[in-house]
Amino acid sequence: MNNKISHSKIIQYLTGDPDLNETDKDEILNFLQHDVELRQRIGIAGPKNDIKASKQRLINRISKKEQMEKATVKNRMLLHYVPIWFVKVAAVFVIITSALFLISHLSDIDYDDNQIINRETISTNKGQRARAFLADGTEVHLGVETTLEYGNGLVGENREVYLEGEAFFKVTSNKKRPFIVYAGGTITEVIGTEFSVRSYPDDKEIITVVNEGKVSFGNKFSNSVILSKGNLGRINRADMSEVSVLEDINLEQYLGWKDGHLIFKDAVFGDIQTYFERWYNIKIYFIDEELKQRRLTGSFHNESLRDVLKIIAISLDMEYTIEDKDVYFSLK
Amino acid sequence: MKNVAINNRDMILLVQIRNGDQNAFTDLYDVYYQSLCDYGFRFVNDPDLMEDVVQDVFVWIWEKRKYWNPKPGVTIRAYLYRAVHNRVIMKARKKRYECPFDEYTEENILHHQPQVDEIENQRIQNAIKESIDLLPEKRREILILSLIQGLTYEEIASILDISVNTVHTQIKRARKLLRNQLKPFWPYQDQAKAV
Repeated sequence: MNNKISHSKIIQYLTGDPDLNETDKDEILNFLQHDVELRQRIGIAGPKNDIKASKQRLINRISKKEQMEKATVKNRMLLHYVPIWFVKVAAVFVIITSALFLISHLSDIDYDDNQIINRETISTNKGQRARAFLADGTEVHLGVETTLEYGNGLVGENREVYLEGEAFFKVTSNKKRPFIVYAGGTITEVIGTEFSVRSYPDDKEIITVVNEGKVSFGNKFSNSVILSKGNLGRINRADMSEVSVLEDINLEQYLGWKDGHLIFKDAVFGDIQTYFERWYNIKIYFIDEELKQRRLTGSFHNESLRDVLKIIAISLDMEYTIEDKDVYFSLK
Repeated sequence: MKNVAINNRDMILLVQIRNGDQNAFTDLYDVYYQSLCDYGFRFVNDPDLMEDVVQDVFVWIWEKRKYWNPKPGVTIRAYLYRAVHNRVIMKARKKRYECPFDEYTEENILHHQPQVDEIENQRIQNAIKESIDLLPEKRREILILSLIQGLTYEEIASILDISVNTVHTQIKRARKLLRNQLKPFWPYQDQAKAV
C-alpha cells in the first residue's frame, strides 16, 4: 500500500484533472482499491470483510449443496426407472395376450429382454421442436423437451408409443390396429384422428386435446372416457384421479405450439413459467414473488425471446433482465 | 494492474475453473469478493446478506463451471458485476433499502484517532463523501464502477445495459459536480483549465 498518495491527488483523480498522466491514475486507482478504510470514509465501500472466513463459508455452502444434489440425483434415477418399468410391463402385457392366444397352456413366460428394449427413440431438448413420420405413416410433432419411444410397438397388434413431454399426433387410420399413447400412467387410444398429449414429469396434470375425430383417454385404474373434437381430458399425475373433461376449448391455445404459436388466456404467470422455460431453454427467476400471480393474456407467433420478454414485461407492468440463460423479472 | 493483465489473469482462472480447479475458483473469489460487496453495499442494509448475494453468484458459477462462457466482449469481471447488479441493485432500487452508509462511516470516524496532519485529510474525505452523496444514484454507480473499481467504459456499458456514450456523459457530469463541490480543495495550479 502506498501511503504517500496525497488527498489532493485523489481530488485531481476524481475530478478528472488533465494534468494527471496514466501512471499517476493507475497508482491512485491501485491505492484506492487497497485502502478499504479510506473508501469507507468517502462513502463508497461497505465494512471490511474477513475474506478467509468468507471463503470457508463459500466452500461449505458448495459442498453441502453438492451432497444434497447427489442425494436428489439418486432419487431421480429411481424415478426414472418407473416409466421404463412401466414400458416393460406394457410390452410384457402385449406378449402375454398374444401368447395366450397361441399357446394357452404356457404358464411360465420367458420373455426376451433384448426384444423389449429394442425401441427407437426420437427426442427434443429444451428450445427444440421436431416433426417426424412413423413407420405407419402417422405424423408426429414433438414439443420442446420431449421423448417419444416406439419401435417394437409399431409392428405388434396395436401401434404403441411411449411419451414423455408433449406431442401432437396425426394418426393414419387403421381400424384393425389402434394407435396407443402411453404417457405417465395414462393411456390414450385412437383409431385414426388428430390429438395431442402433454405429459411432463414436472407438471401436475396429463392432458389430451382432440383436434379431429374421437379419442379414448384414461388410465390403468379407472374407466376411460371418449373425447371428441374440442374436448380436453386431464388426469392428475399424482393420484391418477378420474378423467375430467373440458368442452369447447380454444384449440389454438392448446395446439398452436406445433406451428410455433404460444397462446395464453388469463394465465397465472407462475403457472406458465415452465412453458416459457422449456420453449426458450431459459430459467425464469422472480425477484419479486408477487409477480408470479400476475395474469397473462397474449399470443406469440414464432417470436424471438427478446420480443416475448418485452411484450410480457409491458403487459404485466414489470421489468426483466437476462443473464446468459437466466431471466429475472422484477417490479417496476 | 492494467486491464489487459487483469483480463489475462481472469481468462486463465476461467479456463482452470472450467476444468474443476477449486484453487482457481477461490482465487477468483479472493480477487473480487470485497469489490463486489462494496459495489452492492449502498443498496443492501446487511453485510451478511451482501456476502450471501456475492456467494450466490459464485455458487452458481461453480455449478455451471463447465458451461461458464461469458459472451464474447464481456470480460469476467464485467460478468461478475452484472450478476451482482441483477441480484442486488435492481431489486434494491425497487424496495428502497435504507442507505447503511452513515452508520458505517460515523462509526469508523469515531474509532479513528486522528493525528494532527490527518485533520485536513478528514475534512477532504468528508467533502468527497458529501459530494459523492449528492450524485444521482445511477450516476454515482457509474462513477464508482469507473473511478474506484477501475472498470472500462465498455464493461460498465455491458453491466448496466447502457451505451458506452451514456457512460461517458454520465462520468463527465459526475465529475462536473465533484469539481464544483470540491472547489475549496482544488489543488490545480491553473483553476480555469479544470472547468
